[in-house]
Amino acid sequence: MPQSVVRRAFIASLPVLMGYLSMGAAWGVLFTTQVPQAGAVTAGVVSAATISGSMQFAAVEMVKNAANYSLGLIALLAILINIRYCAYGLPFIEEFKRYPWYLRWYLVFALTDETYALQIQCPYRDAERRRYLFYIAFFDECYWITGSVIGAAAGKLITFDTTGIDFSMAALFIVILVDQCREKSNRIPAIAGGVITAVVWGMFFFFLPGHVNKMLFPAMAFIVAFLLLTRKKLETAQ
Amino acid sequence: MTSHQILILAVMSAVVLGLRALPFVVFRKKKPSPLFLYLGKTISAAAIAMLVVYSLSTVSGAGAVPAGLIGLFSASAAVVVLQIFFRNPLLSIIAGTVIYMLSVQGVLGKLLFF
Repeated sequence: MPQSVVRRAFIASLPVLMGYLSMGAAWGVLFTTQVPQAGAVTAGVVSAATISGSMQFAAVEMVKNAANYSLGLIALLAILINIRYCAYGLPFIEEFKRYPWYLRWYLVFALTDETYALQIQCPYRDAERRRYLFYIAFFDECYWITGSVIGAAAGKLITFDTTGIDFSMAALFIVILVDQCREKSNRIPAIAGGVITAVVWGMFFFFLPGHVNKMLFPAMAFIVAFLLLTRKKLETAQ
Repeated sequence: MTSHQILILAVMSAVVLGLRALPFVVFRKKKPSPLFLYLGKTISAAAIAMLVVYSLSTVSGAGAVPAGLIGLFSASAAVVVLQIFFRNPLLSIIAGTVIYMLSVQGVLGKLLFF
């Protein structure tokens, strides 16, 4: 009964509708106020191709100051921000092998935190399951694009001074950090990551000003070294 | 938009897709090793903290005037407190951003005399 699969998927995705319309709009506003050459169409295309809020918020800073960002740095930032997506696919590996390649690729492409949370709860099997998973992903992507376009258009109309609006990117990451740290096992890696990065930033700021944007490479190296060295302690502590 | 800017957006989308596809490509035959799982989990948490520090360092107007630094600390504190108690990302982000914008544009300073 295809009708009810679409309907159930839509109803399940309603919370995501509210969330993505507002977050997407917030991003759209940030994007067009910080990158004047971009418009609603650009915003829509970017959102359609990426579907990642945290990545897109960071992208605003990167596109605005494009001169400071080598492609290698962009790739590193993208990896850091989205590395959690690596884990999302794991439960679906076996299942997706049986799907037609176009469905598999779309489901993988459109995999976000919220889409993942809904797909994990899919109440169907077989053909209806495939349709449900698809509609969840598709609806979520539509909400995200719609929010972005609306926000981008609104951003174009803003006339007041928007200096400081790029703080929203830092705010987003702080929010994600707070939620991550609710789980105790994440706290030590988080503190280590923050302290190491702050120290490396300080060294660059005072001794190598002008190259601060490159600090992520050594910071990441130190963090990985720290995590490998303390692996025994962190794992037994859990 | 310059070609470098377009390239940045393209690379970004490609990397995101690549990361989403990674488990399907790498783990088709074998299971992920414990080391991989450990690193994946801990790097995620550390990376977010790293991104917080990094993004705070790139906020416009942060270092320039006293208002910038005060704004940065108070806005960040507001985000943390709001998120801990209300768990509403949009509320936390918008409130923090408004506080920062008012601060760095001097409005908050005029109100509170700094």
